[in-house]
Amino acid sequence: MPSLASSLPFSPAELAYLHTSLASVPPLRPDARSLGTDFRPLRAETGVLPAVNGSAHVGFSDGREAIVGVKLEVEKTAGKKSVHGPIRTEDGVVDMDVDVDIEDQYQGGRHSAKGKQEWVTLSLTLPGLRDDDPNLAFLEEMLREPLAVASSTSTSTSTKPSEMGSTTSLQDNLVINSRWHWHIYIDVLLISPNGLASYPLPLLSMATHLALRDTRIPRLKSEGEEDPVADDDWMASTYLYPRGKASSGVVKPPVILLVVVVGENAIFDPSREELAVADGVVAVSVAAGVDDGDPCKVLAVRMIDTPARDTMKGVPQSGEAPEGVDVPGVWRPRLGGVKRSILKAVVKSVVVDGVARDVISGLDGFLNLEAGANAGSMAAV
Amino acid sequence: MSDRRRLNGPAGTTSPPVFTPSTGSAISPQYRSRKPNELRKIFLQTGVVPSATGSAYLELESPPRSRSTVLNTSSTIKLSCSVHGPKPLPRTASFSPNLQLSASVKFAPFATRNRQGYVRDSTERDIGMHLENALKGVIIPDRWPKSAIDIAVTVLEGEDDQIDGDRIVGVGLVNMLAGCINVSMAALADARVDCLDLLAAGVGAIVAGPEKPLRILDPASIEHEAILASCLVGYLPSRDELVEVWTNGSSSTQGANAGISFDEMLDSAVAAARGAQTVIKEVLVEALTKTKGGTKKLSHDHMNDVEMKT
Repeated sequence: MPSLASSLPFSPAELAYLHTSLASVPPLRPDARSLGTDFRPLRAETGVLPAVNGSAHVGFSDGREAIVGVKLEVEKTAGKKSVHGPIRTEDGVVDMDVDVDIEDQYQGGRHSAKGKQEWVTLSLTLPGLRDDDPNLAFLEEMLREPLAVASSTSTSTSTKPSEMGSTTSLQDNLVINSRWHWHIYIDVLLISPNGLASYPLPLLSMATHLALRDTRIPRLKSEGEEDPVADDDWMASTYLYPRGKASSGVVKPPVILLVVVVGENAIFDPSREELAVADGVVAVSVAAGVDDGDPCKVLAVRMIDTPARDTMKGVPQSGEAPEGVDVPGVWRPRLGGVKRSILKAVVKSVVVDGVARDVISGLDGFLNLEAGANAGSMAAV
Repeated sequence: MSDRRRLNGPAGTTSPPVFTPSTGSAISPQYRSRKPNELRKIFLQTGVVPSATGSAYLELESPPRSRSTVLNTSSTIKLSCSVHGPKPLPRTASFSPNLQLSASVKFAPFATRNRQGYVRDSTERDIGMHLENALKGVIIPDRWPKSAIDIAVTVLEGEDDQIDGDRIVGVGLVNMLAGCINVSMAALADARVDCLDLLAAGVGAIVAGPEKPLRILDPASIEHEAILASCLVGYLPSRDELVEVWTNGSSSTQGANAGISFDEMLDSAVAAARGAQTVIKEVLVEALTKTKGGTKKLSHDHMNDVEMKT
């Protein structure tokens, strides 16, 4: 899917060389990263945009940058309105306790209010790509999907089904009262010299992660079922994803990791060269465990089309090889998919072997550093 | 941006009537009567669109039930797929040594409870990308240099998920994609496009059970109150390879106590795919025997020649 049209395609000889070196154990990566799980350095800053609730700017070393702005708007909750209040009485419906029924059914009998997925809007802008490009819709959906998945807040040791139900996702935190909610708009701008060729998913995901953790909800002066009135004081606002000690049950937004499978190897944070020869490309969305000891959770997994399928095949010096015969060192476009065992190993390496934990703790470290710097500058003033 | 070329429905969205249930006939949630590892019955037929190179129609049946309120969501899926090509690339297109596959999914305006517009929305494009990704894994592209193949799936009836939402999400969409993959594979085979294997898609899910979470195959959204996680795979059985994976919902990998692990969920989806594959295989064999050993299209003009000589 990452079209190679925007930058020069690789020749069959280059592809064969890259594939052979990446499939060797341990993989030899073209940018000399020693391990398959190594990430490239990135720059990040939060709070860059003045007129939004939260923002982040992340840049990768290959020149790609993403700017994310998160805005919150108060919106009337649609479903409840039609059941509540005077509208129904004017219609002559006598049965006024109906709304209780529907609400119960709506919340699935749970105590916490449930949000709706429509309250989260994520839009992605990529200069040079048409608005109705299916790749864009695919990427947007991939970034939005894990946000809407409820990540369990109960500890993993509880086995009771009642506690299993106590899950929150992003939209559940947007409920103000039964008639009003916040609508969250996450707008992502990607600046990339080579379009989708170096699939920008990790960059976008990390930028979205940081922007969401930078997002503050204004404090409300109104209480309970009143129409919401926001406090002007920005310092009184609270974080959408509360910060605090990692052990105190803090929920964090998900992170999406892009993994490339070459041979038996799983390679993280692939560069353009590594993507071009991938046997399979897998995007794994993970959420950090609530407590320190908790393992990470898989929220969503998607397979992405690998550009290696649509390449020119190489011809060996001895002439065209018969079909089904692989001449070593001669490139053949990838056929078929990824073995089931390899996919399981990929997900295991993300979650159990701690790649996801490392990434999330890296992002945590950055936020702590920034918070410390802010506090320092405040003290200096 | 208004679409002026077609006769469109009302400009604003119209909200469907939601009747309040009277106390007498409370909505009785439909419970799953199938076993956890039993699939819904699949109806599949190939060769339904005469003008297309290959075509197929798929229906997932749900047991007949009285329709008491509008609130009832259906769990029937009806899909029609047509394949056009392989055909030569247009002269303006640049050279390609491979078959260029493009797949699209379109909801009919009447497919879901809320009307779908004629312009494809983001859900349709997203599903189309998934389908394209799955089918690219099963074709052998270098058999047809400089050619293209178009696969169009029309959703005649979709599985509604929500009580009042305006987009279909969750397991209904996943089931639909599985149906799209299966029907496209049947249509590809009907078009006599040779493939690596007979691709099949299946859905596995984890639902909240009475005591602990349950693992089920082929979940229908109306039969379960809470679906914790769902997993779709596009599976090549003879190679044991996955060409498409789409999971949604939290699952741990360890599966120590409460949770069912990701691996188990993946395996159940693969089992569902194997089940679907037997249906596709049987239908294709049946269609082949009906057309007398597959001479339907391949040697059409050749056969005519022979007849004229005698």
